[in-house]
Amino acid sequence: MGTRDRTWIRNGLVLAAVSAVISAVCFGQKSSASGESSPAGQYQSKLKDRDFISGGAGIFTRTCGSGYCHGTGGIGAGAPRLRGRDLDPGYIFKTITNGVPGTPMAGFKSDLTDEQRWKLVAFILSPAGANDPIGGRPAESEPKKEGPAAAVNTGGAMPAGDATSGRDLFYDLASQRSCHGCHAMNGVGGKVGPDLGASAAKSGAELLSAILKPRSVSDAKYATVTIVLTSGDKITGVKKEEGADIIRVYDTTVMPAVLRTVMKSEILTTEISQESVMPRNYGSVYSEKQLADIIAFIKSGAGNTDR
Amino acid sequence: MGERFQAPTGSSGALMPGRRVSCALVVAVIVAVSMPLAATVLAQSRAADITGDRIARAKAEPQNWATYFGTYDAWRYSSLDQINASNVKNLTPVWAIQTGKIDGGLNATPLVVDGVMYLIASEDRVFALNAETGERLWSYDYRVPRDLAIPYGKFNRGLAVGYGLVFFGTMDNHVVALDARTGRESWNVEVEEVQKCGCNITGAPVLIKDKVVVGSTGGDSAHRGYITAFYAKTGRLAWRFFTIPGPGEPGNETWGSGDMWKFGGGSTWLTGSFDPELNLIYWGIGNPSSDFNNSLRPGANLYTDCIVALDADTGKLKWYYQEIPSDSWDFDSAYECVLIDIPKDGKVQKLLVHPNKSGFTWVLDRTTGKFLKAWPYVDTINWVQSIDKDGNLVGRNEPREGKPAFVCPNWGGGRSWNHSAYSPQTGWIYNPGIEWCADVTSFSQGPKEGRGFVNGNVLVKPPPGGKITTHLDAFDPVTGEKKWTVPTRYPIISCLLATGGGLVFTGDVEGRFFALDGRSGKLLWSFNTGSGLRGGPISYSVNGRQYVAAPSGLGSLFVGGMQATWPETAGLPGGSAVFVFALPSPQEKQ
Repeated sequence: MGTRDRTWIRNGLVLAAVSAVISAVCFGQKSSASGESSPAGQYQSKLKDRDFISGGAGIFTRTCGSGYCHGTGGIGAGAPRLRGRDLDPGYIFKTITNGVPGTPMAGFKSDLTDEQRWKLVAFILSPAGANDPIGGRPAESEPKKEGPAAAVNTGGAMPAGDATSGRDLFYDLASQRSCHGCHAMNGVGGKVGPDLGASAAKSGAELLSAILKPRSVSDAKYATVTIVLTSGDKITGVKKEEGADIIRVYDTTVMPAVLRTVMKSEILTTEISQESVMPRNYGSVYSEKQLADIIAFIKSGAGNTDR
Repeated sequence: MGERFQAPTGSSGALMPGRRVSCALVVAVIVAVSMPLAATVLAQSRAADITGDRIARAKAEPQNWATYFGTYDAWRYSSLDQINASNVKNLTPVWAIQTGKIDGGLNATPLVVDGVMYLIASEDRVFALNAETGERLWSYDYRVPRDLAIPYGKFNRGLAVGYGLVFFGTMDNHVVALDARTGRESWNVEVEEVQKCGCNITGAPVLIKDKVVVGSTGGDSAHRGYITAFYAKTGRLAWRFFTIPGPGEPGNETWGSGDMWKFGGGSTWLTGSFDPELNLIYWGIGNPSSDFNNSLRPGANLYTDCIVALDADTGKLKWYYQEIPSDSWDFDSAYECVLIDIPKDGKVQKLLVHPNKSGFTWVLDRTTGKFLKAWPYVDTINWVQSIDKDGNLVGRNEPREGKPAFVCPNWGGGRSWNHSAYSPQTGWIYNPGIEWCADVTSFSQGPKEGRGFVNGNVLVKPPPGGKITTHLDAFDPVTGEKKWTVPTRYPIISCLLATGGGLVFTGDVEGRFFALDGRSGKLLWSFNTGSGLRGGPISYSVNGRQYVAAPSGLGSLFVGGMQATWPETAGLPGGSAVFVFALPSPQEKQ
């Protein structure tokens, strides 16, 4: 206990400074990528423009036509043939933009600009022919996308919070204690605890306190439940739901959490505690720098990979 | 493929979000009520008895097919001999099951334990059936994640059973255990977020001792692969072996100095083998990504394109052998590891025979990982001039940027993943082959986590001066001597099955399920199932009667790609059914 508290105090001293810097960084890194939606008509009028089609061919080669997907030149491979099918331009654009849930087709909204996606539409609609610009043609480079956040220079002894490093820690698959085991960021991650996408607005101080000193849960649905089964197995975790005969619990004994479905008739004892199931030792698991990184990531609110 | 996507309908619609548990219970109750007494006994008493120890002795109970490959050594061999070369012409269908959805086809190998068949179909739909009659004991529908892109498709290759549970991996990268008596979910664990890894589970898990061991797809994604073991009874993590060493671990230096170790693939998308005596799990590791450009990942890229031998209890690496260092052809080493013991000089040689996508079969000493031989199972190979006596690749023909390289075989492989069969009767391995090539052009683009990371374009071409041809062959698994070859119209993409009756069963993409004489390759029997075969046929027996079960139903990445080479195959019908055959019973003969 002594060690943990000393760590906490030490971190507590740097709280205010770290959070101030993080706030400044996060306000300063609004991406401009979302501000470029143009009226579709501007591009639709270019669907038969040779340069526009050629640009689309280059993009197609590196994305849609690559690998096991739509085949070189769009003649079909693991995914359907696209050329020569008289598809509706709006439908193609929408499919490229949003993807097709339930299939391997991902959305490319965050990878390609509106103009690049319309160029793809132009290429897909263009007739396949001898002069088809496929395979090996120099491709148009993809737009540069900003990372979740730039590194922070605190200008002093305080650790800098780097959201990219924080993301790596948040989702570290090799660690039993990384955040994603229980928490999601904007839908990507565990479902045992709250999605931290909603926590981006919290101050660094609040977040650091929540990481270092998790105590009681603010919402009863995250209460810790301990169930002993007639088999002798003991499950500690968070209840997800309950039916007439069964109870479903996220077993957090070993991470990743296991969603167990238990017959009520198999239960010997049940205990419920308002203390959080969250480990108490993050102050010793992570360095100050790593904590600042994780906080920077949470505050960037950039967990979703837009898949 | 957007126009084909449909929201789930029909009976599975009953599984509304948040309602699945109670629905499963309702199903269980209905099953219990409607089942005849014998079937009730079947459903309640069986898979409960299966343990890792019992599967290790699977050869002693040929009536069952209790693990993906039939036995841990991946022979795909049943010693049952009631059906043989002289009577197979009388083989007749006795029952069939339609799974109800054809999207994704039927890629699975069914399991049979003491008269109950367990089957998984696309979209992770699981069925328990009376293996004599096809009567449905229960069924289970996995909740389709509606808002996710599903990498690598919604098909599934198979299940594991044991400790009263049925295990499978899911299209959104979970591992799930169902109560084998009722189909009720027992545990469910997310292996890694799909959006993070661009991966999911299409391969069958394997029950080894008290653990369920499972791989993942992701070899063409910017992703770091792994094999994961969960305790069978609780779903709790037992161990995870990353197929790419992290910083500070031996082998990390084979990825260059950057962070390519995070994105280099090394997927584990099929199922491993197990030698209980050595306590080693053998798993074939997939290709490095980006598939066609190795300049982004300077080095050998361990442990991609390796066979790894892991301690079954700890997941610790005992040895590895890398077949293709720094792969730039997408030649996975993911296919089956066939474990064969061959007497030599008064001792038993414990071998691992491994057909690779590249057209070669590697033969290793499975105790030490020592290279013994690599022999070609197709004729058209130019990606390398030769493999020398020490296993070194000589004369690599690498895809380049800007100018196409002509590479044989192409990335579709000398064969697809569908597994070979080994018969201890003949001592031969039965394996399909494709003679084909491609113009491959690579390009260079950095990784984006969880997204496709392939860096290449491929145009399929025939071999120099010839046509694309396909065949089915028998080989001596150690020397590579070809014993017979049978031409086929299209690639054989169904697994093979060898039996104690001297037969080899498989099927073609046009729907014919057929039996060959294992010694001569002569066609002895054929049945038109109405859709192509892509799964794993098995044999089992109940009450003294031998059955052969054939999963039928086209659909997979390979099938999608076939239309570019054989345009007429685009019109072949999909399907998803299992046909079960037997010799006419005494009453039927009268």
